[in-house]
Amino acid sequence: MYRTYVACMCLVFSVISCSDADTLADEPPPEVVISGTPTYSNGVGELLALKCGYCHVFPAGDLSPDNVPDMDLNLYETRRVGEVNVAGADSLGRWIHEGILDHAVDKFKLIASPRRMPLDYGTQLTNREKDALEAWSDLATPRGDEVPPAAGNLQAGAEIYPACGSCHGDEGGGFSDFAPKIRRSHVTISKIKSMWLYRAGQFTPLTDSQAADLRSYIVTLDDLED
Amino acid sequence: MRLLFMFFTLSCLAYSQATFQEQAQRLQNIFGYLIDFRAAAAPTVFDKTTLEVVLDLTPQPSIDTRVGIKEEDVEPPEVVPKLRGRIHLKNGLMLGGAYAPGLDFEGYKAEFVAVELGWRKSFGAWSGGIRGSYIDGDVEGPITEVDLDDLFTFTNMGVDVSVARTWNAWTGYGFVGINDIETELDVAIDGVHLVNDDDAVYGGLGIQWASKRWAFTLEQHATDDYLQHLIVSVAFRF
Repeated sequence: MYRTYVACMCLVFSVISCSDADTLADEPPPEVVISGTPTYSNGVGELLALKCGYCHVFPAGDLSPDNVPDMDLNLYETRRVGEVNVAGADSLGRWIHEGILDHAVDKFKLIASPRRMPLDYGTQLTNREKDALEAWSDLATPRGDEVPPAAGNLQAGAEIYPACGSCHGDEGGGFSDFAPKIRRSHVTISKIKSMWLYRAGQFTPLTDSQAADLRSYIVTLDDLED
Repeated sequence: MRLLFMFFTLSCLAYSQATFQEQAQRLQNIFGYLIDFRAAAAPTVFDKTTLEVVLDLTPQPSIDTRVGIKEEDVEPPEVVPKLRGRIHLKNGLMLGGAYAPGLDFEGYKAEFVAVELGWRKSFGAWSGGIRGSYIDGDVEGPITEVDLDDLFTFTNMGVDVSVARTWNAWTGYGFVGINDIETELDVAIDGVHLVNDDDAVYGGLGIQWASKRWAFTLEQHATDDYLQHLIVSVAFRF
């Protein structure tokens, strides 16, 4: 009789025995669907937090590679934290413009080993998300709730501009890949304030009033890219 | 029947989308559970104090290690061995352990310490047992990239109950348990540090053939709805 039990037991075992692991490797990445004009407030912020902000966070987190720059894509504004200038999402436009979503960009000499973003092992962008980020970049990476810039004081702006002009040139035409020609449509208050801290490496942020002064001067330069 | 269905079929309702973190967490869970200190034996009650030396072999399931769009061409061992010892007291108590002192095995260096404590009771041809286990260790080697030394550390704690029925030399048994797992993966290529804390229900069936000195065991395990694996075990009794 016991042989029957054992035979049944072996039969059941041979039917159910298996070795398998579901690793989620074939699952596509989640998608942030953006309807209407992409702005930081309208979808881009959520997208950046989901697909970039786990590495690009300040202070750097466990998931951040060792050589990650001082950048926090969970916030819009470039800001000064203690002794460090931390780039925000408002600094991304030129990287996207130069194609970092398709290939490594070494134009701006900020990192030792440039790489395409997201990294291969990161959560990938869908085609629609990539299109939305490129459209956002073309629109000068707006936050989405900007008020029209104040007129600004041309003379006061001219006094500040030399800190920018040392790289971008006296007329905004740029000198090299490191400091390319300024795009006229991208001379916004948020970009000026971002570039001031992150690229010019200043220790004191510009006020909105100073940024408006600077903007009113920059848009009068002769060599801007239209 | 529903339990069987739960334990032995991979869910058709898997995630439809996954972030890199979810994929990495799942992989850590899978590797953590594959190295867990499972019983790999029927809950046998001995009529005298008995010492066992046991070799467990865990055939590794095919594991797709792709994360994001990174295809990893790493080839881990097809079978992971584990040498363990158990002492069975005649009052049903069982104490076991295993230790690996950083041995190199197919390009990987594994170091761990594991202990288990159990109590068994027999009722004629039937027996039952409860067992707690703990394993702590690390594996160093090319986990995400060839020629690099990543570091995978793990701490598992589990408790399971089992029921067995014996027919002469043969014993069939089933078990169910819960496992808490804490893992960390230090990825060498970028210095990324992945931390994972999870728990899972597991269960399975086993079949054992035993003589006076030898016991051969085949165990089928299922963990939640995403991992099924086998453990083959050979024990020599003193």
